[in-house]
Amino acid sequence: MSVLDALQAALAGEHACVYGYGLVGAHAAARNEPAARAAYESHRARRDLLVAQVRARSAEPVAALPAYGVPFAVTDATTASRLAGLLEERLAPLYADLVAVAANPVMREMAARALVETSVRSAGWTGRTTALPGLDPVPD
Amino acid sequence: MSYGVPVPGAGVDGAARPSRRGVLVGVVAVSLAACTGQPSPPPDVDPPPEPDALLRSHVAAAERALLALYAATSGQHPRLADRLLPFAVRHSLHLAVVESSGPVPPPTPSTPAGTASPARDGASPSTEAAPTPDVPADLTAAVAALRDAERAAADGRMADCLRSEDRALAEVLAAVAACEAAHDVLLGLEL
Repeated sequence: MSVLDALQAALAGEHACVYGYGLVGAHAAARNEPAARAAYESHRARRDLLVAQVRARSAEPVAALPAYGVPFAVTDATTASRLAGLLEERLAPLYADLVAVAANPVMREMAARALVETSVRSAGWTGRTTALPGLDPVPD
Repeated sequence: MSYGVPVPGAGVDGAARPSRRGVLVGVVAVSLAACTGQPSPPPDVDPPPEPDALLRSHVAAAERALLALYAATSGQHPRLADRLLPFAVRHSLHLAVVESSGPVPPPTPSTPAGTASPARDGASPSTEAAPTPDVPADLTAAVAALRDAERAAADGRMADCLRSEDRALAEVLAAVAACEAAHDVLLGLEL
């Protein structure tokens, strides 16, 4: 996998997270609203960082889709938490790939810290982790 | 909160469980390591110093120290033992993955070089040399000590990831850091 491919894949994942956290925020339990809002802002910031890195390589950043398929209806706090966990778990391998192919130490650190953050959020939403987030198969 | 990442206040599912497949991979990795012992250098050349070998040794020692802390905590607080087991299993897997990723020099320089490793029966010199960790008598304080150790481990593995020359090892160390940071969250949620 090339660095550009890994950047674009992570960017596509962040687009999906930004969309998904819009749904999460609309249904999250009141006590989880701050976490949902913070996650949304964090994914937007990562998205913007990745856009800049793709452009710095003279490529066109992948665009967000108009809408994303969600594998279950998000109608309440429980399904909102479930979607948030799924978003984070699916994002993790994209950053693990970026750690492995990173072109320089700054990019490796950015990707590794993003992997840690997604794993921390995932644990908070789902109450579980795997031994090697990003490398283990996504649960369920 | 570690890493400045706000997390929701409660999980969907009360149990911290490793993926079954993850556990199986760990068991297989440990079994393979038990069969083959340490990877040997080619017999006819002195291997050049491998920059990541010392890093692997450092990470393996850190994972053994965490395993010793979990064992001591479970011994001191038997009520916690069942809930701590999945955490220790994941650390065992970290140890197995790191040790199987390349040469791991022995932690003590006095160990004769080039001798065959004895069977890996869990009584390695480094384990015997490690002092038994102190565990607070208060259960809440004991869990807090585990969380402190997990946060420190996650920070250490992140630094190791950035030092690693081998990209595959860097990826593994980033994932270990991610798991250990998640452990801090899970210990806070459930215990």
